[in-house]
Amino acid sequence: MNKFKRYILSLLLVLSVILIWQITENIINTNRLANNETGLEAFIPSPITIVHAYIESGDLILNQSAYTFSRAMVGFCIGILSAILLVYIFSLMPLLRNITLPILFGVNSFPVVGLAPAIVLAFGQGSFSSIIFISALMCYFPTLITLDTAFNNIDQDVLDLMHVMKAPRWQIIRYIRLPHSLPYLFLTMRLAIPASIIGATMGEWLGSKNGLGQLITVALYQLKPSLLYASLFLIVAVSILGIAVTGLLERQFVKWKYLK
Amino acid sequence: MENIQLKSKTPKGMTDSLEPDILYSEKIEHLFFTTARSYGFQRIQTPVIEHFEVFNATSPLNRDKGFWVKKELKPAICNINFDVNNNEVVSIIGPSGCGKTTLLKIVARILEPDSGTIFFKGQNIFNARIDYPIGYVPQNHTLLPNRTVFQNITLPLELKNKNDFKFALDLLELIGLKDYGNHYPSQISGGMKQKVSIARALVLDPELLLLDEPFASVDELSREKYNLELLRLNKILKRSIILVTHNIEEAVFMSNHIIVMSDRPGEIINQIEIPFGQERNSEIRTKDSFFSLTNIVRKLIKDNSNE
Repeated sequence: MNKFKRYILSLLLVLSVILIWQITENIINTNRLANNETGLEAFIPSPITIVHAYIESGDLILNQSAYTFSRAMVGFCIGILSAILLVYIFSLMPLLRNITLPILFGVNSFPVVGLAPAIVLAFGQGSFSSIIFISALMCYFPTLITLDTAFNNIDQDVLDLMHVMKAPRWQIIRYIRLPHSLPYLFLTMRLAIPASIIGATMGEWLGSKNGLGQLITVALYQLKPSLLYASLFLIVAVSILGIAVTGLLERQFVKWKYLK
Repeated sequence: MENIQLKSKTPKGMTDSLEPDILYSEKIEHLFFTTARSYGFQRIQTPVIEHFEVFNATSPLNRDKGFWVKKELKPAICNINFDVNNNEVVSIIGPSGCGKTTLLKIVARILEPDSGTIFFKGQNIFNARIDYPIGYVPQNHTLLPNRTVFQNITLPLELKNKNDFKFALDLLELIGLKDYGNHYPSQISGGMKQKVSIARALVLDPELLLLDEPFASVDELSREKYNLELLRLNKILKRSIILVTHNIEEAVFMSNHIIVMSDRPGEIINQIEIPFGQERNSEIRTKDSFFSLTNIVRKLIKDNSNE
């Protein structure tokens, strides 16, 4: 089965799930309304209502999402780049790595849900810096741990060979460790894209005047579940788009991995 | 038994001077010599390694685990003492786990022995910052997957900031992989990878080549072919080779000198001179003396292994 067919089948699967959702929703909704109960639409909107929400408040969602995604993108870049930088420093100074890494694992155990309010307190409620900080934090540790593992998971024979060639540490990084960890970088980027958006949304959710996180809060309190779902699905769509772009980049930069 | 060939594949009047199973045509052989001459390779006059003594080298396994696992420090190899003369192939053979690779890594200066020294052309390799040109081929091919075959061969040159890739190109032709220069390691066979690995070790023109079971992952017939190719290559380059192997036939066929090691802790049981001279072809493998030599080595290893 070729790739195109597989994508078509995945799409069909998603469409059929949406269809089943719509039908079930309709049946339950009419039943509840017939019994003089509140319609199910008030709690779980049907796909058609969500589409309506996009049409009615499309401008609002787009405006707010621009805030969120730009913040997430900045957070993503800061998180990934600082993780790469730290891994690079670690591989230049192994002693520093051995001392610091256990501490970083400890820091990683802080629940971000609890840490986020603390960050918001420190940087100011709804401030740009607090939101990108949370977003960067969300992708920082996964990237750091994955890249550090990749950097240090080099075949001992290769390292021996470089030792025989008297290669200094930076050359080992440049010629061995960096190329070896490139596939892992793309792997961790795929995980970090959703994480950075979650971080940004969480930051906005904790008190911001704009952004999808704020929109979700507002939709919740105004009892507009369709708006809430519309925001969520937009986040999912953008995440998938980001992951697809990463895949394309990977095919470009890690060509040798996809040879036949 | 000798000269069994498929008649259809052997044209009449063809001289039997070239082995039927070798890749090289006479043209390439000519190239061998011109290349060698143009780079000014010549026999080294002094022995490459003399007074090789290694005593009680601790196993790398135990050494790397940190300071709290020191209770199990058995020596990996001890009482090792041998010489390697120039343009000589010395094989190290022994049961698995006897410390052959450890020994080779010590010669490559990857590991340091607890006691003992190695003298390379009269200088202690562990003491001074001497010029110690060696090529090391680890057991696994260790080609970098992100570089093409040619880029892999030129890696040592790049590391040393040398931009003259002419010799690398010639080496690529010498190992018979001229058409594969732009292929990636994942696209070539295991034996080819090992040849590339050997070419990479040779590209800086070392005086001593250390091979750690170079063709261990290759099937028997291909191994014979690659052995012959390696000998051909070395006939031109005239390097000294230390070859670690667990294949007795390979050791007898390739070497001028075999060092037989005992089970752990590895000690030298015996050193055997192989009297076949420098010129070798696959006919040697059918000689009676070849069989008797392999049997001697096999018996030596069996008598001294713990199992």
